[in-house]
Amino acid sequence: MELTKQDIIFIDTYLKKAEICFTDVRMEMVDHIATAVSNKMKSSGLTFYDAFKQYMIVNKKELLKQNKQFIKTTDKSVFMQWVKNFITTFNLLVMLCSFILLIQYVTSANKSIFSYVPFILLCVIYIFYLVLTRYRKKQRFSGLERLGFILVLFFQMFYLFINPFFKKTVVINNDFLFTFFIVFFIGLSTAYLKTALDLNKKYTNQYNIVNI
Amino acid sequence: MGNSKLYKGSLNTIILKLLEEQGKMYGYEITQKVKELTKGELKITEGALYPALHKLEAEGLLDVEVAKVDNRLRKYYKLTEAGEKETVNRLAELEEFIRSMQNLVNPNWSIE
Repeated sequence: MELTKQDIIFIDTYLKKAEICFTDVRMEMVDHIATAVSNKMKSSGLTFYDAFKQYMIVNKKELLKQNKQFIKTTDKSVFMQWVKNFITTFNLLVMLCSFILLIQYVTSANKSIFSYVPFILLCVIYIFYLVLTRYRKKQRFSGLERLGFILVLFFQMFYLFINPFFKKTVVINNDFLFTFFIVFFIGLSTAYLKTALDLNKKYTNQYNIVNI
Repeated sequence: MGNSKLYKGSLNTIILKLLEEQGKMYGYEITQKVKELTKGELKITEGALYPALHKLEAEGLLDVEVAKVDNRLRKYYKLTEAGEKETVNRLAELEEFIRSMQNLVNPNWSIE
């Protein structure tokens, strides 16, 4: 028995209220519930609401359990993708060229200026990230969103070493090490942009079908 | 079934084997197929199936295809090239495991 568009919207809204915020996770759950409810309606002649109620009483706990597991898997997968993009030949080459270029200019005197590089990159990435997520309007995709969370955590750790705004943080006095950190940060940023673009492409390819 | 914990470790292999046979399947279809094949003995819950599918996808063993079906989107899973190779390995491992268990429990039984 085919469910109406209103029935599907009802299930989707129910899951949204149950804090299943990611479109990709919810979409799969909606299909699972809709198929199960539709089969129940067919086999027992129940109305949509009765069949839905009966199904959710038995299965709600199991359905919500998978949401937590999914976030863990997504975090791991996105992090691995970032690492993979970090160690590509192109990215390593970008880092090598940046290092050769920067090491000539970084001196103790202008180190404070260069220490703004990670901050500027963070701003660029943040704007890029906002554009990507705004483009998606109200749709929140797990990979893209969790990538942002990982980035925030990483940047916080990084700023313990190089932070232009707080003088009392650990200061790297060695020019070589300082440049290395900046270059490392550039490498992570380019890998991040590549990962965000890859994920965006993946979601566009998978979910470019007319929205429910 | 009496003790579904016995199946737990083999869930990924069961999924891979089904996808190898069926080509592409969606979540609910997998649960129903397993129920049908085991005559209701094994019921895969949503809380176990989807994390397993997502993990296999993250490992690059499964590919995903989304299609619009009856007013909603449906996510189909299918094996990647790496997934096909891994299925062969995992089935061989499972067969070896069953053989060892048989030798332990009752050497007179045979799966040949």
